[in-house]
Amino acid sequence: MRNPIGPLPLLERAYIQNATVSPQVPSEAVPGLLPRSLPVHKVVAVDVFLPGCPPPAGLIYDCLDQLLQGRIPGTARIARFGG
Amino acid sequence: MGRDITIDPVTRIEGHSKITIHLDEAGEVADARFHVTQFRGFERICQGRPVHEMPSLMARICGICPVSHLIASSKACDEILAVQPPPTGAALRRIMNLAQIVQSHALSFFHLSSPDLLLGFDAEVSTRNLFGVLRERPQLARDGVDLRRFGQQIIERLGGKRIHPAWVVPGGVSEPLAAEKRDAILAAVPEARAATERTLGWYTSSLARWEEEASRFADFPSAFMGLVDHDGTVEYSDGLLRVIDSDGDLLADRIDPTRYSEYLGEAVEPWSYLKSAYWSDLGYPQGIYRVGPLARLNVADRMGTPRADEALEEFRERLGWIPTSSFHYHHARLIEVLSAIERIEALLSDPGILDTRVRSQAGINRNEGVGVAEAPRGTLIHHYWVGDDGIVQWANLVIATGHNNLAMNRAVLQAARRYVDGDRLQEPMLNRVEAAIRCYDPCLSCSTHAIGQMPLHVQLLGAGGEILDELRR
Repeated sequence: MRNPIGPLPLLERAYIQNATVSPQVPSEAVPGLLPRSLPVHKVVAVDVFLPGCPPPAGLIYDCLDQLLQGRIPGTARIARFGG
Repeated sequence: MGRDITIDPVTRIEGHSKITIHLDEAGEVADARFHVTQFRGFERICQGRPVHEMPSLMARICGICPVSHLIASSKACDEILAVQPPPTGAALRRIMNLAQIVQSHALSFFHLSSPDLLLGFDAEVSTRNLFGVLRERPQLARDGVDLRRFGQQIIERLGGKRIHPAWVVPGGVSEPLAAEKRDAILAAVPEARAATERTLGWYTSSLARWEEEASRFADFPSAFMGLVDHDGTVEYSDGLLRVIDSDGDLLADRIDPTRYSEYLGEAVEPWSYLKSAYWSDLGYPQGIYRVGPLARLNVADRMGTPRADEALEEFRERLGWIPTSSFHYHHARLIEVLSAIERIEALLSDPGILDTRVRSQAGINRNEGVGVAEAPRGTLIHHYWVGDDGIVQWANLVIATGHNNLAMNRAVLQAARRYVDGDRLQEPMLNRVEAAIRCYDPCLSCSTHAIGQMPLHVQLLGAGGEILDELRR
């Protein structure tokens, strides 16, 4: 949701517009925001996706159970994220 | 020349942060900073969304206390609709808010802090966790898991799921309560109460073991803020703001919390994504105040339920009317859990709780709304502006952990002054600096409206800013 807005307007709302003392965008000892938010699988390889916000406990259990049995859970057919 | 110590990341709290400790030229601790290193930007992301989406959208700020955001957000929407929820709708919201206090306090006390309390602050890191508690004192760990489940199951029974239920809506709640769900919740009350009583008994009988920590952990004067009702009883879902100083003198009493911006300011420091709220009359940074369990007990006259009031009386006999050490947040949390269980039982025992009129309907009748409630960690404020079309134009959020930011920094400085010795990072210091922060149960995801989990990173810095020592877990 933040990508159409861009990092600077987000930071300015919080730290300049919604501040009463020393409005400024924090920049010391804190990491800067990347230009775009990326889905995790664009950065690291993801083997299994668990859908849900949050994923239901039963699904997490089932996934771990299958992994322990040496199988890669086949949740890809029920969930797909991002592009 | 001076030096700095950094703790990065800090563990067993919710979110990402690090700590830096700055030494002066004599090698003494000159300053210490609690850096929150995450940010998402909900105040801007929600702009352009329809106001009816706000409770569900803003609840995504946090996976631990989504209910608090649902309540505060829905209350802000109630203002914009210019409606009051029907009494049963309001009571059902209260029950869910109390269930959230129980589950979140259980997580903080048992899962995050009890390993330090039971096994010792310097116990081996690999065993100083819930599994270590399970080995050493199984009943304590079980009570923690059970109490968390008690709270989460109430949320699920009311709202259909444990995390991010869509049931709390502008104007009330979306579905009435069925009798069998009420009965199932009530049936679980006696065991939840017994688990809380057992834990409170163990905690109070063990207090002497933690005298050193209790006297060293963030023990300083500050103001305290929390919601109370018209009679001065602790209040979680509605209520008025009361602010006292550490002598117990009132800085403000029973003020309308929707007028928060006349009383509170928010300051930015360049080294943290967490803003610092301050009491405007005292200025920044002198206007330091604390919120959350200890603050709520300190500002209130009473808990308003029989057993919790006895526990509060004992708390005050032991510690004085206004304990200033943040260590006592732990004790306050247990008393609040007891009170929340008693309140849930009382609310559910009223036959009116099954009434089917639970939601007030209306269109956009105001362009601005403020919703304020007590989240587990303290006072939570959502403030929205919308157009006549109901589209959100602006939002400001003030979150419990932001109110506590000045106090957390003070706590870290105090622990560092006591426990930093020389220019190397020592385990006892790390453990206590972390544990001092953990008293506040900070939720950094909430307070910067960001997401993540928190490991420990500490840096020790010299007067010239050079890194002398560094430790990560």
